[in-house]
Amino acid sequence: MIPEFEYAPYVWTSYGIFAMIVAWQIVQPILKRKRLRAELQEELALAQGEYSDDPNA
Amino acid sequence: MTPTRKKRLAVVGLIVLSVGAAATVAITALQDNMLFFISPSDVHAQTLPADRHFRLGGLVSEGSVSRDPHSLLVSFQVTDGAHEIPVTFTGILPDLFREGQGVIAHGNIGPDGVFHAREVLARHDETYMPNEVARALEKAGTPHEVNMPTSRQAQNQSGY
Amino acid sequence: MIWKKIKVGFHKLGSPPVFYRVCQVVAPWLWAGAAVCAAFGLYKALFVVPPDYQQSDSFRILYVHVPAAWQAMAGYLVMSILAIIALVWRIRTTEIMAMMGAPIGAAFTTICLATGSIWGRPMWGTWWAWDARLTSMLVLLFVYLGIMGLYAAFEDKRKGARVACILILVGLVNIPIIHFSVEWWTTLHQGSTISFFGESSMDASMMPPLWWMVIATKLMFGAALLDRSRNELVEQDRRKGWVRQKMEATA
Repeated sequence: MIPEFEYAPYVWTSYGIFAMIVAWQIVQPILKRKRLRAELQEELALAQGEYSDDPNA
Repeated sequence: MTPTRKKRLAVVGLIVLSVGAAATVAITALQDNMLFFISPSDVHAQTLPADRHFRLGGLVSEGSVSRDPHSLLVSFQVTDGAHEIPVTFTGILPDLFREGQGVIAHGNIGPDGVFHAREVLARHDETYMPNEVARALEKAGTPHEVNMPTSRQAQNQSGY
Repeated sequence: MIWKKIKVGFHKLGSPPVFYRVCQVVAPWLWAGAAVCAAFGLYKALFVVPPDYQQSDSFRILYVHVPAAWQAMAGYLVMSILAIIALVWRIRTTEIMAMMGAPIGAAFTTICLATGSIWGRPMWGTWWAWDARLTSMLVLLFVYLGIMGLYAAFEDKRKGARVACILILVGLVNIPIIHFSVEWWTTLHQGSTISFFGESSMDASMMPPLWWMVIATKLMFGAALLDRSRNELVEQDRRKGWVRQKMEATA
């Protein structure tokens, strides 16, 4: 790292915590949306009677 | 707005008002217990028993810090402008412990009239500035005066 | 005329498909704005701003600590306004938004408490002290967690939202306590640096990254709120026609 900007590790730790928690605010809705979509698609398939255990069918 | 909504709004207002009133009463009743530290003037005004532990807060008097060369023993004076109390402490001090800066010591006043601290915390004020600005202020003869709040009782006694 | 248009637009937002669409379109823009502001803010905070005369480079933690603390409190105010609208007008999308603010507010409160603790250890000499400011901020975290828990405990989500909205209003009393704690009592935490009506006790050269970060956290909160509300709406309406139609369209 650039010597002039060698701050104490706890300064970087603080910024790291900030970045991680904010990143989770972006990732959580995306993961949830994916899960919801998968669930809903399954429900839809079930309702339309297209559901099969055999992936090759 | 329909009458039903007006009624609901009134209920909402009532909730907020009553919780606010309850909190105000609780805070007023517990005022003294919510102080984190008391100032030297407060200590001066009331003689506390020697075994009574409390937190003492004020500024470290300029030129009062002396360190024992053979141990971690440090002694200094804590002031709030009106009164000073001598403090001794054995241990490692926080980074911001400096003369003229705020400090909060937890301990008790011994029979010798000296405050024996078991824990010392540094307290910085709300001012932030670069080194150059601080130096310029000093050069201009108006160095930044560190702001340390005093506890309520002391404020009442000094009349404001 | 214009008022009627605004009123109609407002009512349209109460319709789930319209609300879903608005969230879908607006949220990415808010995230983009937040990314730009945060990039400016973080760069200036870490590499441009001069070190503090007392705390040297450690004071740089302020640029994540203070915006997070303000957002934790501002987020609560936003939730309170939404809760009042939800309780009086019973608009479902508003109820959902009020509920979805809680996890985001809790996240910002956590950032505030964690960075404050990390900052306090070297500067003050302690990770934690039970002074009025720190304690009231911890109470805010528990209020946020309480709202989330209460909402989750109800099978009927609309009923749960209404009960939790009342808890939001009860917890509102804590916000002025947090703000004025450093004035009402002696605390280990220092007083407010930034004053909106008087002079701030921070040198002007240190200000710009703070404002960039404050705007960034505002946008982050808004974006995360829309993202979460959209998901919650779909989850609640999973058996409704409009969700089915959307699924069939994308399938």
